[in-house]
Amino acid sequence: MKSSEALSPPAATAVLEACGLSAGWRQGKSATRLLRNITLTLPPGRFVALVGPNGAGKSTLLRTLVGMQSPLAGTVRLRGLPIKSLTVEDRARLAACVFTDRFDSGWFTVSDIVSFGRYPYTDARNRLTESDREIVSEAIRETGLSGFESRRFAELSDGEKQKALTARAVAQDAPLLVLDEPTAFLDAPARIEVFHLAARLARTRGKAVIVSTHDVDLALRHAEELWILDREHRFSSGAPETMALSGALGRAFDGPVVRFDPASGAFRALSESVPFAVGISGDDPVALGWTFRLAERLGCVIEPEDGHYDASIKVSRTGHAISWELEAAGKVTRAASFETLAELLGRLIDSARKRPDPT
Amino acid sequence: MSDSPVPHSELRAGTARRRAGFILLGVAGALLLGADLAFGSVRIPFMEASKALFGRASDSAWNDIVRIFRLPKALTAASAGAALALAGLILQTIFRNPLAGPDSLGIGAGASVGVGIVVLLAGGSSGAALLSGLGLAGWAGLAAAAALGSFAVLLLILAAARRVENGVTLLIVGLLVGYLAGALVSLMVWFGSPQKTQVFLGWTYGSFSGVTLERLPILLGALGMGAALTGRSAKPLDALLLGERYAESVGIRVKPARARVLVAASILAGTVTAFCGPIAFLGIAAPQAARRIFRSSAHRVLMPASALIGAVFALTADVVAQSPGGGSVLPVNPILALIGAPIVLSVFLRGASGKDPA
Repeated sequence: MKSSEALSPPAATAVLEACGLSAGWRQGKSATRLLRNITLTLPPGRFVALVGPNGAGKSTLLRTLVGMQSPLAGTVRLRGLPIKSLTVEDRARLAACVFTDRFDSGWFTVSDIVSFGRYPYTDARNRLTESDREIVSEAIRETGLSGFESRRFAELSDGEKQKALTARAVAQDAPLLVLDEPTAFLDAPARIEVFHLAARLARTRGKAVIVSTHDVDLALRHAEELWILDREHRFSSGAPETMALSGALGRAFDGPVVRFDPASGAFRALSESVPFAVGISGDDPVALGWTFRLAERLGCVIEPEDGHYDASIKVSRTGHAISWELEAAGKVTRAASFETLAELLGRLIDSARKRPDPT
Repeated sequence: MSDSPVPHSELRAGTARRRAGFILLGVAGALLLGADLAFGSVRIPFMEASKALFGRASDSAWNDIVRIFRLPKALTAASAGAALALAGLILQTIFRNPLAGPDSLGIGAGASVGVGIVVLLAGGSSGAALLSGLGLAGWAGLAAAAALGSFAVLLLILAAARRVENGVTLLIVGLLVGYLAGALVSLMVWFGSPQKTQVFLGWTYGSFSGVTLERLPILLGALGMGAALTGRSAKPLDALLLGERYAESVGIRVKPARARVLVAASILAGTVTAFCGPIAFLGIAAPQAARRIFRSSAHRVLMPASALIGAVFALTADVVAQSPGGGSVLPVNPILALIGAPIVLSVFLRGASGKDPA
């Protein structure tokens, strides 16, 4: 830590700071160091996504940051307070977590579950005050669960359960919100909703939000900052765009079959066979975009740098009708549907792959 | 109040159900207590039995019968039932398993080992006089031994629970620990003198009638201690239903909270076992019935509800045990099994079909 920081009063700005943090497990006297020398800060209102392949140490990092696991070296501060000096109750008021743990919720209703967020504030008999109740219903409203208050938690869909658990964490009224793989069991729209909600909580409530996830695509689209742990457990951080273009994302995830493609911002399986180059042109951006995707799906290289095309496709659209002109080796064929285009293009690719490579 | 998280009508419906439930159970408990005083080898009219409590029955023999014999027995039954139910509730929450209970996890068996050591191995006093002749300090020691035996088994099960996530596997572990404890008891019986063995075997049948008026305070004192420890733990117990990580993340110190309620469960189950012998099914069935009747998972509701239902079950069993009349009394355990087994079975089947919360 810089000496000037040590002298100044606890920085009111950062919700979370880690300095020279090493994390892992202690078993008896030996320690397994998984993460080494991580330094990070998280200001209020910032929405961060933590990504990395399985086994990179995402959960270990999160557990250490919220004080549920003590660091092997280095320090963690919540709102400037060293986490070691905090009691369990103090920590609960500073960091709220949503885990993937499943539990039998029995007869508990949505508002029962959300009320658990008030635990760090209630007395030994756990009586809710009027303001506790207000905070609970506010959290329920915020997560879009109004009207679900007296529904049994067990009867909710996975997406609604995730919202209720997030509402519980919101009701905990902590400046740091940690969601550990909140999208794990959800369908596509519910996943997007989770990210949307996390971004909104950061923006409107000024919470620092950390979401660990396997949905790199969603993380790139929604998070303000990306934290990456790679296979060697190295930590790096930056704006999603920076991380994509600097190759940090690729280094973390690339394997023998799948690569991160910075141009499209998505992961792609490498095609093993002869590349088939196509040029695609047209006026309608939507028709053009989906034609690109079709060509990519069939394994084509699009707009190669050397300007040599095996085929070129012209897209035109009138109203809802889209039509294509496909030209290869001087022959022109036409298609009026994606299905036909896929078939024609597929045939061209097949015959090109059967020919021996000219080079 | 329009912002209340629970719509008013729902809140009222839940509260009304709870109030009605507690009133009904209270009335049932009082009636059963009266019946337990009235029934026995000598039938005493209901009104006379309640008068006899204050020494005002028309027949002075009835006064003695009710006050010296039947009142301690009825109070023992009620408090033992309540204590086992509370212990069962704690175990079901801590192990997050609706089929956990003092007997299914081998905790009763652990208490038997404690009792066996005291009765069969320790002391040189001659057999038959042992249990009946045991001084008050001896009985307190016996209760402590049983509680220690229970606690030892609980620690074993807890260690196993950290390794196995599966609830059914945990029950199998409990079953095996029970066998282990049973084997220890058998060996002690083998080496014990015939008289001591007979006393011990009589104890294993389970009965509420062994507690005399003088011993009653020890039983009630120990159970009161266990219940007080439990009563203070409703908040952490609720949180533990969500799992240890959630409990910790909302500010519960999980280890001390868990240790406290497990000590409470050991005291409750161990003491009852020491005084009444191993009592089956009550500990599993009563919390189940409480959840079903009160439609709640909150411990501040389930604790008094389970205790009341446990008392009602035990009193029912004791009243039924007296039903043959004419000096013959049925053993309590089979009667409790007849009440409890169908409840536990229905919970198991419902759990398997995933319909209702356990």
